[in-house]
Amino acid sequence: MAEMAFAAEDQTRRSRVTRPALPQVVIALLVLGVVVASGISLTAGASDASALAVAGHWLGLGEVNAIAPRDLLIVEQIRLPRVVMGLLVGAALAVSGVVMQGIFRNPLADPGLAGVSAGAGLGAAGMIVLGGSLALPAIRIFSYATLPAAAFLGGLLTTVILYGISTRLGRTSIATMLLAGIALGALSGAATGVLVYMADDKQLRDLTFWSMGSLGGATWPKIATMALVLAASLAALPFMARGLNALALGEAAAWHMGIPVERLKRTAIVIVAAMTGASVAVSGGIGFVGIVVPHILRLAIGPDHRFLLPASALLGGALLVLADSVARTVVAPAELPIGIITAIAGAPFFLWLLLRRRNVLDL
Amino acid sequence: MSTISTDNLVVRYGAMAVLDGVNFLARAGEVTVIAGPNGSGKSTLVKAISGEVAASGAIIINSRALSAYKGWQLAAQRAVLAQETTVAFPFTVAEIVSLGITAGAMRVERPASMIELALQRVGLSGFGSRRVQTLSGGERQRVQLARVLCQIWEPVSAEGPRWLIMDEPVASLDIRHQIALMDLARDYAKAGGGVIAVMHDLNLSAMYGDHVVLMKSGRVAAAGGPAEVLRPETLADVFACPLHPNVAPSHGVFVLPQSTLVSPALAYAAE
Repeated sequence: MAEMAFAAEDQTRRSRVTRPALPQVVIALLVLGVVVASGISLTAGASDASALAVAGHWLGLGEVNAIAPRDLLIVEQIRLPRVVMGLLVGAALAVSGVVMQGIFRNPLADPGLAGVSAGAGLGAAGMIVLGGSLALPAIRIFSYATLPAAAFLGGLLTTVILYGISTRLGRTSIATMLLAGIALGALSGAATGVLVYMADDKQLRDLTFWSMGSLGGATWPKIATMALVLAASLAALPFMARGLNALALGEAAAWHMGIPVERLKRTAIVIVAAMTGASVAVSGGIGFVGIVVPHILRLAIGPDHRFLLPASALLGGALLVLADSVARTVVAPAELPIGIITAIAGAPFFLWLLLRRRNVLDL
Repeated sequence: MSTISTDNLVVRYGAMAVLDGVNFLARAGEVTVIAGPNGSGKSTLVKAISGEVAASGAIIINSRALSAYKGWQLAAQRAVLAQETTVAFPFTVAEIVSLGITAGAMRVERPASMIELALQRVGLSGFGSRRVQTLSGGERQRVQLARVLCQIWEPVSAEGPRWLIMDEPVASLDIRHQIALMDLARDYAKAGGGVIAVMHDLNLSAMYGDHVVLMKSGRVAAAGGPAEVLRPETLADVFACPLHPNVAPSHGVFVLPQSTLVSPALAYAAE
């Protein structure tokens, strides 16, 4: 077959290297980053408990009595669950961001910005306030799963509505999506407000505690629920990566390349709702992880979802654990809600992103 | 049989029939051009054949009903080049082209070196590491062509001929690249593959079409060789404007458009 007749001329144009780093190298570094962030978080805190000493104790090194029982308690029962929870929630938030951006074909899509988190929050608040009056025996048995399940349903409903409104004939209008997200978020917020108004004193305390957005309530049963949801979602992702890549060319082009587009979108929406719902249920509203992390990584390793998804899980986890360390230490012995830290870091980043894309965005 | 054919194909958007009983035939080894005025159903026909829109009536690809193909089987047998493809994220040229390599059910191991080969073929050698967003409209279209070529690299597979389906592929290209793209399509057909292209340019249609299908109001108005189809009466009926087909000894059929008011030469003479 003949080549196009103009090859020679075009070769004179220099190609440029656009990717600063190899994805595999970055992922390896991120694994290291997760370890370092976890180490910092285990060590940092109001107590001067030594994580190193505890680690030595775990490994059977050093004297048996070299470690104070108090330190052991703090590291094992308080900081460790918090670190694990931070890794899981951070990973879930970052990955839901990537998946949502993939199906909406837009780097500004994020469960927090698009009202999905608010919808999940409404589901969780509804369960806290109204769940007791349902008096289903199942609620007592699966008490650790009911809150995430309610949040999941709230998030799923919001995502489906959002997609239905903002996507027509396979094209998503980012302006419609963000505006619909504002409306859905406001609606969920108002409904949550009604629930707060209805709540009795105990429920109000639960609601307040939960809505502050904190990893402080980390317990092993909660971690198990979160880990289960995350594991199930992450397990589906390798099969979706190629589809999400193809979807970047549009739904028609993805279909032409043999991607089962409708199934991919349905799976993606369920996964986003599940991960956002579980995160919101265990840690309240933590914003901007899902938009900042994928964006940084696209700059570093490019948008190939085969690398972007695992890298986002790692960076999301590491960053959230670091943010939690900051939240626990800046005003020690008190602590800030972690949502404040991620917003302080993430919101300006998001504004910068908008500024950079201003000419492209064209709302 | 190595054909794509439709029998009494009907596509409705709401109550309106965009395709209203289309009997279409394209043979492998030929370039089949679909031409016709705006809104005549050309793009919809291509979408129906690609399995993109729901249609009633039969669509047969290589003696097998379209509905009997799974998505990945279709992807292994035909590739579609749209008029324009927007890329959502900052993918590099090589990453986009590689999507074609992994599309469908690839029985044959396709080497990564095919990416550079395909880029060479569309005249974008060395563009692999460029971001798609930094390219011009015409270059982007050629990147998509390279991707599509990777998807159906060998014109004939064990399941019969492969099909290159293009919807106004040359719309964003300058004349030289239009010719280059159509040459490439003709080569693909000569090697045993099938090519179906929606075209607006009647001269390119005449030059490259082995088989020309003229559409009007959701139906086939005429079909056959260029000389057979591009006749004054037929063109006047289909396009509802004065067109002058002619035959140049060196060239075959060509079509001259004419202003409906008065010829430009006369306009100047009147001043």
